[in-house]
Amino acid sequence: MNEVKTETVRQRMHAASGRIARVKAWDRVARAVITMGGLGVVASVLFIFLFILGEAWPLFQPATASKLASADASVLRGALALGVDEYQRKLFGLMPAGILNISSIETGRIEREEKLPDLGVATLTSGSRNASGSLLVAGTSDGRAGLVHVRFQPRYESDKLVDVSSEVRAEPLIEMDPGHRSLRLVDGRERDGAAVVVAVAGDREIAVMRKESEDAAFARAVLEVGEGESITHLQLARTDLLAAATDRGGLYLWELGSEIRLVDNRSLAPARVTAMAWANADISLLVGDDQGGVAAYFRVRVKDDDPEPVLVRAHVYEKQSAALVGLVPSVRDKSFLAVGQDGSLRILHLTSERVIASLASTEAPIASTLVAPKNDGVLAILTDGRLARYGLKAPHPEVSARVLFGKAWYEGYPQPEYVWQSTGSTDEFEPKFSMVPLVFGTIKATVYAMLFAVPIALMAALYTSQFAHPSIRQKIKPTVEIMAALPSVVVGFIAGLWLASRVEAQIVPVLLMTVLLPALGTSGVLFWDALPQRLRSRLRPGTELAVVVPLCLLGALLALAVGPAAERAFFGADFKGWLGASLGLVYDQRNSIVVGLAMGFAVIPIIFTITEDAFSSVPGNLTAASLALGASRWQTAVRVVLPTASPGLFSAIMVGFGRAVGETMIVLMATGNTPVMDWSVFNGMRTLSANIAVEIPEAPNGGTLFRVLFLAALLLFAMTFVVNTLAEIVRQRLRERYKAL
Amino acid sequence: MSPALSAKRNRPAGESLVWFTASALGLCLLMIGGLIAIILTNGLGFFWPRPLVEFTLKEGSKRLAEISAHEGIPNPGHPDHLLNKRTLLKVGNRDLRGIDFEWVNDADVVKREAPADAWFVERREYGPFLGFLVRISEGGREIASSPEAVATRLAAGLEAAERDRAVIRRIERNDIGAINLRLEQARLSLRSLDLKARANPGADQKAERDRIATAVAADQQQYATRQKELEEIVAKASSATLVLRSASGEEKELRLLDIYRAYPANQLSWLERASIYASRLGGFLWDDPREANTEGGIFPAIFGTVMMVFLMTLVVVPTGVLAALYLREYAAQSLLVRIVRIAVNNLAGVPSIVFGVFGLGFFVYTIGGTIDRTFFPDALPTPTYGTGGILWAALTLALLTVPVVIVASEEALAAVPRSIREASLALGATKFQTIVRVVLPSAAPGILTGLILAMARGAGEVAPLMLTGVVKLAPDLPLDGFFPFFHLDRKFMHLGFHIYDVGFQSPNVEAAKPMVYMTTVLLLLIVVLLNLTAIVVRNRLRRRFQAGAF
Repeated sequence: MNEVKTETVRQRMHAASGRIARVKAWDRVARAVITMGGLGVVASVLFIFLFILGEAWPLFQPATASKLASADASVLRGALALGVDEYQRKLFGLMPAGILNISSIETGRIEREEKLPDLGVATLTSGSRNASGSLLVAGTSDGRAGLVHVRFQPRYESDKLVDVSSEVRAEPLIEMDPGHRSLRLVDGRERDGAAVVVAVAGDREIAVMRKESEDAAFARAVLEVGEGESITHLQLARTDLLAAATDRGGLYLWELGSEIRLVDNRSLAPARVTAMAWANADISLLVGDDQGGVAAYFRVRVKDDDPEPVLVRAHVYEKQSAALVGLVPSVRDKSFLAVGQDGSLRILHLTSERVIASLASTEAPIASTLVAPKNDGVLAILTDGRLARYGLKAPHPEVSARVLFGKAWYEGYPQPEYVWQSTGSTDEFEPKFSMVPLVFGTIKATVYAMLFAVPIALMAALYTSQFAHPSIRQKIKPTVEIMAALPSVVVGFIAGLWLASRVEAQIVPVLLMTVLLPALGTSGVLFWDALPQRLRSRLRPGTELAVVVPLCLLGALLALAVGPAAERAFFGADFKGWLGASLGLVYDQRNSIVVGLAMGFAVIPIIFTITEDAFSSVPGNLTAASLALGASRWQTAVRVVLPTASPGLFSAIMVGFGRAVGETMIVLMATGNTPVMDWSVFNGMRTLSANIAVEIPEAPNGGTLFRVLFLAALLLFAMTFVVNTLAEIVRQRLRERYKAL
Repeated sequence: MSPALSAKRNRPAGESLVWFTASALGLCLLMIGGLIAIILTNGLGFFWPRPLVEFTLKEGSKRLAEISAHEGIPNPGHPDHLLNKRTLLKVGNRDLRGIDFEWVNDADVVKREAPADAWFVERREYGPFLGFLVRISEGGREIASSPEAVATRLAAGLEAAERDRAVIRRIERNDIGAINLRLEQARLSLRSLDLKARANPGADQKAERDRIATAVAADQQQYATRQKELEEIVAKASSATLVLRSASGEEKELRLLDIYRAYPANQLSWLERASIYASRLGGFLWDDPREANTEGGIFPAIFGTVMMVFLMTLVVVPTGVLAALYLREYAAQSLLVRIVRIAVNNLAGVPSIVFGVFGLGFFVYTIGGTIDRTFFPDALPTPTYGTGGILWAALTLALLTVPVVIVASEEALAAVPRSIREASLALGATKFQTIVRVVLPSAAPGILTGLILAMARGAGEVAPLMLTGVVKLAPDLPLDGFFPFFHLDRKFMHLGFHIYDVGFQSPNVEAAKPMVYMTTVLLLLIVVLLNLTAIVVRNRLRRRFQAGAF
């Protein structure tokens, strides 16, 4: 203590300077930390947007195709049908000599030779391979056909693929042509033991051999095309559809039911079919012609009363630079490879009609092409015996801006439509990723919610700010704030489990209320007006609420009481039946009325709070002036307060809109979540937000669905961000305007 | 003055239209009141033991049931639409008849009575049993068969069963749980050795492997002993059984071990009813869920919600205050700051599901995936942090609620009078000292308000959690006695999600409804209390500033 006392000023200054330096250093550190932290938080806002954008971005990226080093495949030169295993290790081909060759892609050497049985002196003259890859069909020079199954089995050693072993099984040859002519074209399919083999020996006759089950004998049938035509292409779809094309541009389609029927026959002349294949799932027939045109056809009932489906040309693709010589479908999805005569190679997608990739041309003319079973590569055997290989990365071929935001023509649909149906049970399913029904659903839900919420919130805010007694006002604001704080899951739960069933049971009273409540209000007002001044002045202005709340209750009860009678009188005691019979509408339990009410409930407090703020911060001198000039409180409210605060009103509606657009739990619980597109109040919808919540748990990370859902989130983000920014700017303007007044 | 003019004077223009605006507000208030009333009436009554009624139907069969609802029979298109009545019976005994609830038309009922000896038995499986006591036996030997004797024995037996259950749970959770944990860790160490061996084939791992093998063997030995011990206890406890008879005369034998509560519903006094109510309420708050969440308690959901909000608060306070300090105290008030402020405001309006999507893509897959590859490669392909968990959910919600804190903190900072700041600065304090010692203490209540509002929002938000780690059933709490005690990677249960899941995904919605209402009551209570606190704090604050203005 003593020492402190004896310190000189200089000493104290010296002692303090260290501390001051420390304090100043801390100040600088704090400034840096706070600035960085603050900027970091702010940057993270931007980052959210960029991250979501980044996740959705690859949807719109073109596929990458790279040319790999070519290999030697001269041993398979001249093969009639070719295939490759899933891992791109082995090639297999049917050789004219009647041998199935399996060769290694890497070395180019034959690893296995399998002679077809019972061939005798005959050779093979034609062949085909099923898109799925495991079945080869061979046609012989003496009018017989054979089915050969090829299967590959991978072998792993400590998680690494070391080899692929093959398994070959040839079925006995089937006699196709009694005249023992050589078969020009051949195709075959097998399914659950049933089998169909088709072949062409002459010009216009197709021999069809069918059996129903494994042990049954083949039954024979002969089909013919028009006089003077010669069949050039023959393609089976499953075991029940056969397509053929002729040299005059004729296209024939037979249904192989219990009896064989020609279901379509049309001429594509002057074009001539030069390539034909069924896309994956065997529903769409891909046709390429000599003018470079590629189109896809499938059968569908165009009108509901069509007795049977008709063949429609659903897709026309961008023209190829030369005549088509090959169409090779992928077995993974709906994309296919189109090969032009000039060596052009393009990968197209059936649904999105996108050119996914154009491959670099090969060094020599192409003899035949293959799409790798995993859809990760393309192989082409060239006329000089080399094998050109391409690596392919097309992660999201089924998505294009047109599929997402426009109509697309899906298999089995009578016309192009907006459809959302993301997952099916098999690989053959055609995913339907239209955002339009979801955006529509979002807007529908929002509109109904706003129709309910805006008038109520607006009037309530006007009353609270302008007419209510200040003591009431102080209680109302916290109440409404609590209303805003109610978790949406609670509102959704009550809407879905309590309200929905009650609205369904009491639909007529509910509809009645929309008429009855305003009517009751009007009559009440008229009655009040008619009362003598003496009685009216009993009620102090600003305490109307005490009268009105019971009146509202009374109106609701009245509607409930009158409801059944009204239903009997107007709707034959069965409103839902009446709805279906006379308006053609379906009543869903969880419908737009329920959503409108529930989401309106969630939005009202938001609109109320902002509007009330805007109304009550209208400068008092304006209202005082108006009242002093003799205007009534209503006139002041409507002609002075409302116009002055109208930007606040706008901003409130915008913010409420933003909230309704993004609301998830209420919609999830109070609607059936079916992506329908109509404005009927009696059915539900699926919104963008609910769709994300429903589907993202099943979407694999990085898959197309995952990214499409990120796109949906991006849309939501953008929609609300724009709306909220607009609202905020308007509100700031308003604040400045008030300052000036 | 003409009479017409005076009449006009007397009636201010548009006065009656004010009424319309008043009725709009009335409607709002009615809706809030109605919603809360619906939840309370449906939820609070659930635990009250109701009398059991025996219905004798026309065709002669009998039902013993609690009455659940009564309504008109809808028959659209016919004159008797809604005129005839029917009753919804909670008949229980799902194992015997396959249904819990049954509609009975009032016209088919010939007799209703309240048998005094009817019992309501809550058990582990198949919902409650409604019936009559027959006998109690132990080890196959009948020890009581008159209703009074059975009732006395039952009370003692249920107490014993309660103790047995506690012992069994302790062994399963603590002892066997710990052994399982060690075994799992041993498996992971072995895998990590495998990975090392692949990277560095020459290394000698024998000592290490031997050590693990011995430990595993010891644990397995211990596991077997414990398992045997458990089996013995279960076998002993299972020997006591109660035979009940249903209204239709079928007998059903139940282990006392499986019975949680039993009471003679028609003999209870008010006090006894109240005590059962209290005990059920206690069980609801403190027990684990049973029967696909439709029975038992919701303790894990309460715990998960609280824990998640706590974690979120830990993140949201520093970041929110930091950002507000920057925007209000440090940044020059330029156009950029104005834009940033608008952006932050808007972030509060971005749909919560968007945050969920971001949380899933960024926290779970990107960050979590990286953590897994870096720190937990031996557990792959089973993800540790690369899947939803309480940490990711809390971070996602922190992002969602940080704008609320920023906006509130900024307002609070702005409300601190300039003069106070200037006084501090004039005394030679640095800016940081001024902020820490003068500005922040004055602004603290405002910041606190923002924080409480953020907590309330976080507690009630469900959509983003569904993508980032909430599950319908997670018996392992994120905080327990096993190292490292806080398990941030664990999935958790949440009150809001519980409402959605049990109310909408449950196979037996009718039976689950009351539980959902009760959960809703609880969630509402939390959220409303938080909000009320915020409102009170804010009002106090306003008063203080009004008084302190000079």
